[in-house]
Amino acid sequence: MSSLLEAQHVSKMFGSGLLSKGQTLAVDGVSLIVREDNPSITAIAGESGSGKTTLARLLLGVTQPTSGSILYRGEKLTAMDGRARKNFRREVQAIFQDPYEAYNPVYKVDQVLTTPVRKFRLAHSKDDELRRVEESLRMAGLRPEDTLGRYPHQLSGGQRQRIMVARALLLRPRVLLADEPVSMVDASLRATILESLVKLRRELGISLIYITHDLTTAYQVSQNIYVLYRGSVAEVGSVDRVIKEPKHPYTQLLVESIPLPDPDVRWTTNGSRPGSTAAQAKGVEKENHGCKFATRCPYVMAECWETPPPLFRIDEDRAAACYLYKDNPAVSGKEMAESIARPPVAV
Amino acid sequence: MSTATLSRGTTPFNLASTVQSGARRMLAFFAENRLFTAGVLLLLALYLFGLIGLQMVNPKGADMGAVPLNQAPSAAHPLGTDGLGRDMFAVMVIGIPNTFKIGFLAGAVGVIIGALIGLVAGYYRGAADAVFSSIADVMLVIPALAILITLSAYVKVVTVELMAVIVGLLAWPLPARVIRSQTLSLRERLFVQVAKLSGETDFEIITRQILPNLTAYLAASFVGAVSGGILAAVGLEVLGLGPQNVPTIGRTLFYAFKYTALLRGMWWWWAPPVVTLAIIFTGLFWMSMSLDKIANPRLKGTASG
Amino acid sequence: MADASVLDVRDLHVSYRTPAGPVRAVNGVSFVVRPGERLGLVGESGSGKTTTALSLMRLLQEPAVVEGGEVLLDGTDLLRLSEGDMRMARFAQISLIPQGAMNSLNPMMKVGEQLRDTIRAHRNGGTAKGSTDGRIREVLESVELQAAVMNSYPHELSGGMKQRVCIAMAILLNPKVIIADEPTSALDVVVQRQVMETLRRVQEALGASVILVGHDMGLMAQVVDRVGVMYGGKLVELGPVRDIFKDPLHPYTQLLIKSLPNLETKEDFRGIPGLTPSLLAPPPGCMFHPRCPHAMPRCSVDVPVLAEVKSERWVACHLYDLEANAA
Repeated sequence: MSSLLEAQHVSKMFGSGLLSKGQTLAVDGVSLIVREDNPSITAIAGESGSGKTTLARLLLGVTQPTSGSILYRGEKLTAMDGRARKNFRREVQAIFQDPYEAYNPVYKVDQVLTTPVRKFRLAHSKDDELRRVEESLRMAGLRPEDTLGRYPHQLSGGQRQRIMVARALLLRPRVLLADEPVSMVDASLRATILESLVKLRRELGISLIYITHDLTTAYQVSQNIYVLYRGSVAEVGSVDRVIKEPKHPYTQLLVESIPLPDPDVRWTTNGSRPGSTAAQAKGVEKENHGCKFATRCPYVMAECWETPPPLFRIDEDRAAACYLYKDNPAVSGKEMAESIARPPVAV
Repeated sequence: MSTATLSRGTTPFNLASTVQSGARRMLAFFAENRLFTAGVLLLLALYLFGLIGLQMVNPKGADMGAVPLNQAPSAAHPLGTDGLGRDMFAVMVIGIPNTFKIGFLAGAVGVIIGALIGLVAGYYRGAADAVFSSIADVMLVIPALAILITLSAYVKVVTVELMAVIVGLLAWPLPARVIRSQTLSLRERLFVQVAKLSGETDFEIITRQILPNLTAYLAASFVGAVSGGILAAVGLEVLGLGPQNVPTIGRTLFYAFKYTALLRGMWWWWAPPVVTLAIIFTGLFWMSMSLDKIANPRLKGTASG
Repeated sequence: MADASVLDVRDLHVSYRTPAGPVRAVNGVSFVVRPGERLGLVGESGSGKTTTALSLMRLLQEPAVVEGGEVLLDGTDLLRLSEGDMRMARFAQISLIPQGAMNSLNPMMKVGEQLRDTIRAHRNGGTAKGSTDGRIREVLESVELQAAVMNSYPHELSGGMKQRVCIAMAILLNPKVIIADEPTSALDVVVQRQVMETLRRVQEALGASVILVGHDMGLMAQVVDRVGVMYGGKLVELGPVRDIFKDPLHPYTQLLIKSLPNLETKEDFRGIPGLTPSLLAPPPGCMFHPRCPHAMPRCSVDVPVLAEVKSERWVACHLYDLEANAA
């Protein structure tokens, strides 16, 4: 199986202390696969505390998992030699959320483009370097003469983010992680930037991992989606199914809460009120060894408190970790990841 | 067709234009930070007094027994003479540049060592950090003057440069602390992440990403180390330790105390050193106050939201 | 439109004095807020919406300066009040739920103490602690927080809870107008919904009006009655929320609505080309004309005026200048 970037049941624990008191399990047993022969856009969706940012850092190799492994082209990141590491670094890149912080204020924005060209030897001469940089800026919808030579504070947030897209184009990675790339960008520019990301896949065969809390853009942009809740996968599958017919109660809650830009389709007034779920109303703070969502779940049952539910396969291309579907076959995270990463059967 | 040229972070070195733009930026800096400029000008004036004065007077006048003793200021000896037969003007004019030399040398040694240690400890953390931080914490608690006095007992002949270096070697903990804590926070910044993804090595990240953002802290630490250095040196000299073969400000005070200049009403013996020290520390204080404001812009006043 | 208004903003002008020149952040903005209504003020960064909101409360600081206009709250011009009178008016007549509750609550004081302070600052002479606390408990309950919250420090509360404390503070003294400046921008989608629904409930119970300032059109569609669209320091369109979404008049509003992500079409992205205008060196005539698909020669010369072209529909665009177009 031509796996490009793979997370094998990774977990990440933060904090020290022998007792579980000071520790947080940011990522809890997540498996994810991006294949080489099927460039796709995979969304990782969740709110703050879901572990999506930590998962991104694990996939980028910036931090190490406490258990499980991250593999690139079948090789564990921790076992790579210098050459393989450099390769990995070149082929797995990222765009971040904050177009302000991504730049060192001391340098002109050019540096963010020229450094990787130099370090990864992407050009064979100064002229070649300039040509490539200018070309990538134009492809990202910017004019080199308006952009190069400027300091970060002289450009707008949208321009800065587009330069980051240009950087990705310049590097031609195989996998691009986009961590909330448009949440700090103005509405009118969001569509443009998202479009350029989608083009990366369509025209250059680059796979994207799109990390966001915004389900609407996740829907627009990706093929598959992993919905995370407190570090675990709540629901995973094709983005059409998961968002149009959410099965996990958490996903349902998320989808219901989306503020749709349609005054005729307003939030239903029986929406989740703070502390209105059955378990919370009883004031029960049980020692919960089971499903993390139990305290907020309107459908909570006895077994939900016992052990965390595995993923239950609901469709060919969808699974949810919820005992509501316990009659369906249980499936491992890895199987599910493989399943949805598989190229679609030719119709 | 683009006429843009790329700025690669460190621009290819063009001396003329670098000096030009650097000069322009320096002037703008001085215009904006007036307290800093005042401090610099004050110190510069004092230093120039020393330099120019050296041209006007016979340096041999600072040797003991060179001139008649205990003379009040007159035309021949503008600052009078002391009880050891030294022309006070000559003494000051040699002593002032010496004091600056000690300060800058001690400050430079302290900041360079401190910055190196702070960068390494802050960036790599772990064992290196634990070791250096413990050493620094211990050194900060032990009074440097006590160490210096003890050391002086073993080092008989001390030159100005040697004393400055020894003082500097004891001055690194505070700059190290400051640089370390800034490094700790800078290493978490997003642009460091981006640089890592662009393939930069640890060394490049420390020198090209982190270091340039530390200039304000390095400058402030330097001014602080210079102050501390001069204070320590003068302290040693006033106690009779330190260089004996060269006239220094502190040593002059030592003699003034020893020969009871105060009681004898020989104000021209103790006043010039005291006034000089007051001017030096005022200048350094103004500089460090304004550097604080630069490093922490919030001290400047309300920023618009 | 002039009758039955609780807040009447007339020709507001606010500039920031910068070394490079004055930046006209709010450039002649006029609108009316009716009792009990929810008005949305929407715009991107640099549109002037937050500056407008803060100037209604007179909370702007150097280098921002209010250069002209009137803000009539029940007939009284807030801009002309003395500092002391304005302080009394804040929270009692017109209050603010600020952006980022994390920053506006004092981290060193318990929540209950801060709420008591708000009441105390507006009453002369001693007030019995009992009656103050009674009111506080009442208000906390209305925002669905337990009274125990009074003894907590802000850092002990979640983001949503902190924001609800801010709502409580804003309604403590029964103001007539509540300004909510991006109150949920730091919150997750689920909590955002809870907070907005809480706000709506207390507002309706109070009979107060709300001005919701933000950039999230989706949120506006869910929550407000009328929407004002700001661009480049000016109000370019104002109308009932349904009309704005179904039948936008101003080209900017039209493009903005089209660019909103929706759950119907995949990979169909329609951004607005060009850049937001420089407020330091604004384009001549209409601020939007460099990016406008319907720009006419007139647009680069004459500044369009906000006019009521249909009942309750206000637009600032030459396309709707019936007289001139008829000529």
